[in-house]
Amino acid sequence: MAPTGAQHALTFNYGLSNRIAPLASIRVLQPTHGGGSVQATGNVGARFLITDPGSTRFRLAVATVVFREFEGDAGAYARVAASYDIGKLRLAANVHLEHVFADDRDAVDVLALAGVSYKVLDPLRVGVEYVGQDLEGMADDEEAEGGAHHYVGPSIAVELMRDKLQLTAAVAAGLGEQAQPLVGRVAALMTF
Amino acid sequence: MRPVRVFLGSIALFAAWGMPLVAAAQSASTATTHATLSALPAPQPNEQESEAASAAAESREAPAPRAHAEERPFSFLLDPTTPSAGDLSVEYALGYASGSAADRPLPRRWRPRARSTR
Repeated sequence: MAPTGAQHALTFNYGLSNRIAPLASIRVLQPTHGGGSVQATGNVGARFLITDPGSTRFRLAVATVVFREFEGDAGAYARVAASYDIGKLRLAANVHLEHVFADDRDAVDVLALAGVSYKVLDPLRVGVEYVGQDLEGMADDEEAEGGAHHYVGPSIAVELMRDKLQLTAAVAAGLGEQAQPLVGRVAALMTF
Repeated sequence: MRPVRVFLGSIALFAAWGMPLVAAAQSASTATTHATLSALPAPQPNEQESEAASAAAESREAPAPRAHAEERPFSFLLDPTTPSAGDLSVEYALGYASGSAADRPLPRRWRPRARSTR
């Protein structure tokens, strides 16, 4: 079992054009369960905007990333992200397909994410997010990560300094015995 | 006193005879005016008023233009926006129990309680 704990991630994104954005990320894990030392790794990839960059309603993008896990195994994933705006309401969904090049792993790990976000004030959004992880476990009893996990919880997003600084935070409660009771994530994005 | 009575009587007679005629003439004139006005085309705003009205309508319908295209309305979900051309964005994220893999929001390997008790 891989160590779980607090993960710090520093990600750099660059807009090569209005549709293509390479990214590189450095990640550090501080184990909080079962001891262990601090570990670091990274990943590289790119995001591609499929729809018109000027589109204000429907958006579709694909992210492709290769990564190295903290335990040392390499892997790759593709994530398809879509959103649709209805006034101040944004509906979004992600499908994430991942493969790790190791013997004891699933052929494909499947994640599905969905969320709604409502712009309460111009700089403030609140929403609800759902994460379904390792969904291939619903059809495969031998799923390597112990079966499907489902999480749902509220999120908040704030934009400051004319979109230069964006802050997000979310907590999610696990549904069922397979999931952790509570997980969370906070992030700050600065654009130059 | 008699001239005064004659004068007042004349005024009373004039009022009794003339007022209904005046009222009828006024109502007819008002109806004609209304008909004429309703037949006319609606008044057109001048060019400046028209531009201001259309700009106000656009501002109500379209969101304010963003300085940077990349958005983060969600925490776990990836929003399908990318940085504007030439933009560099740096993101720091901290996820409790985020586990090990890539951008996965949650632990990749979490020993399920049901299995750990076996």
